[in-house]
Amino acid sequence: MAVVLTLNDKLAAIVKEVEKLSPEQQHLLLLNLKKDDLKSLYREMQKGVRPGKKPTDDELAEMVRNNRKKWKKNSSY
Amino acid sequence: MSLPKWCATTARNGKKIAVIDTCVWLSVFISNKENLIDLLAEKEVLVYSCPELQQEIIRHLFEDAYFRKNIANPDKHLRFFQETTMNVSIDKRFDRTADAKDNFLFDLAYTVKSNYLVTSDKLLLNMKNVNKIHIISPAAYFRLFKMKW
Repeated sequence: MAVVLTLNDKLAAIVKEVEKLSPEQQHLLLLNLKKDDLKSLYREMQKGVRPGKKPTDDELAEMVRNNRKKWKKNSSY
Repeated sequence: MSLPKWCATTARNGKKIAVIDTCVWLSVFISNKENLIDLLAEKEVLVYSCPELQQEIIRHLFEDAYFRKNIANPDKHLRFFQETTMNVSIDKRFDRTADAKDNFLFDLAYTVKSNYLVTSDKLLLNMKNVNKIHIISPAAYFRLFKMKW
């Protein structure tokens, strides 16, 4: 007798398989599935960035180093 | 019902686990670095974060004068960071960086057994290697995957 799987059966089977994955594997799977959404989000992010000259990677590194000094005076690090 | 083949073999090794320094994240936020998404999703790179790193990202986005002036939607940038990284707690034990305020990056790399710390900071890049951790520029890291930064 042929077994007919409903959509719910199929989804339940997928969920069961995903639950067997480690958190790292689940994270990678999610990234893979959400790739297009992440690209859309990234493009939305870029729309909020003021156009014009941007700091170079070296300048950003310097900015972070200075802020670390300023902000982490009282931290445990 | 089967999952993609790669799910069976998470690359818990080598170049596919990385810690990315705040300055590199900020560069991703303000420049067009969409390649990062391809690196994560297609090359299956796991990028880790910790509460200390996230806090630093938040402070830059919401408190630093440059980012407050130039980024109108910091919440979206933060969401991107959170969705693309795996957040873990770290043990504070590393104490060998020239500037002690950088130690948390190495603690994170040790905690997640990452062989790569990706940074644009010259002080860190000059260290080159710390035990098994290679300190590498974003351009050099992307080159490992034959991709452009």
